[in-house]
Amino acid sequence: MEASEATLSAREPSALGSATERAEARLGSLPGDWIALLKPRVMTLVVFTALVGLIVAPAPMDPVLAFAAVLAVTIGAGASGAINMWYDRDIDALMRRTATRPIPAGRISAEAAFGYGIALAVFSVLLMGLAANWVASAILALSIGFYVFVYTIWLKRRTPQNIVIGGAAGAFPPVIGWAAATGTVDAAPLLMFAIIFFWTPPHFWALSLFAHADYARAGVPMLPVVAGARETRRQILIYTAFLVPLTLAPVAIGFAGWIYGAAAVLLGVNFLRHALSVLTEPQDQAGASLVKDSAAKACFRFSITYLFALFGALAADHLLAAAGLLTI
Amino acid sequence: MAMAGDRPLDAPRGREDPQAVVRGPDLTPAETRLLRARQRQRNRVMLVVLLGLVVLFFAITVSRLSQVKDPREWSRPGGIAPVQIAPLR
Repeated sequence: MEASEATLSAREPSALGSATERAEARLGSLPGDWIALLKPRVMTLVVFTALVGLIVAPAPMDPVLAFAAVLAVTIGAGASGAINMWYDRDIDALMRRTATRPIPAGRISAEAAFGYGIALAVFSVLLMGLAANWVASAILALSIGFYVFVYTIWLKRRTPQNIVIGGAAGAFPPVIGWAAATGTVDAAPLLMFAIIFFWTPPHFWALSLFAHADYARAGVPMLPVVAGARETRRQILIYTAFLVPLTLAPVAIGFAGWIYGAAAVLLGVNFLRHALSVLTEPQDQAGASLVKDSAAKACFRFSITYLFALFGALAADHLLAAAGLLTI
Repeated sequence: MAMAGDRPLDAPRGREDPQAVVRGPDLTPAETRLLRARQRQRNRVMLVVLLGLVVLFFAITVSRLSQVKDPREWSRPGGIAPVQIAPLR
């Protein structure tokens, strides 16, 4: 889910050697730098999907413990981000999108960021165990480990399938939320996992279409860098075509009602329309956009709205059903 | 003997002492004030975080205790209060 933190506006490349930046680094970090290490924009989606997992679970949870469980997921996601920034500090310095992060900019040392990430990861897992249960705690630990070892260390620099397999790390939060409330894992949270898993490639590849120069400079084998923009456009459409029917499965198994069903259809049609625009936008022989990747940027933006709205509709469905206003 | 601080930050370390500490250029008074202000800011945030943790763990303890019906279940040495899973809706 790293992609959500990306900004669409181009930022100035980090002038690491500039006198201003050197002076800034000597003055030490601001509290905001430590928050930036946690990748707060990624966290919002993680927290939201975890919260939805908790809301739709069939067992109500004490509000204080539910808050602590969501906080544990938030801190765990932030810890993964901090460890990721520590490991990727070399390539972050090469990419325009990431060069101003606290470590490459010199405001926080790599060792301090690593210690911070590890401490938060351990704390989040313990907090989840103490506040909810050890099943949720184990899944949280698994998701942090998956993001750090499988995605960041193993796949990211080796294969264009990095975000397909590594995307599973971002799909865990609703499962953790569900497990926090029930102490078990069922078919429904696995379905939510699958939805986020299939949503990640089109979301991330839309970003990589307009940020591929950054990835190429850093030597990260993202799909547009390795297979070209044309193939990436095709893959975005294929994954979106898989995703949309999958989002209707909760209705089919009786886990969601008509509000979610209607939202899934409307949002799905829109997502497919965006994916189709990405495929057919004016482009040269190699598939490079002739219109400044406007379709890819729109698709990326919409993909974020899509997931928020889809999971929001699922939560609304269950909240209305719990209030007796709707039958699922 | 020349002080390490006399050299610029990126100057090579002296051969005579491989463990010599290379000190960066001194901060100006204005930079020192900024440095202190940032330290104070970080300390304040740390205070808020620590107080928040105290409140959080107090609230978690109260909530967990309210779920326990029979204290003998968890008050044994090394025991952890069990989570009471609510019945399915």
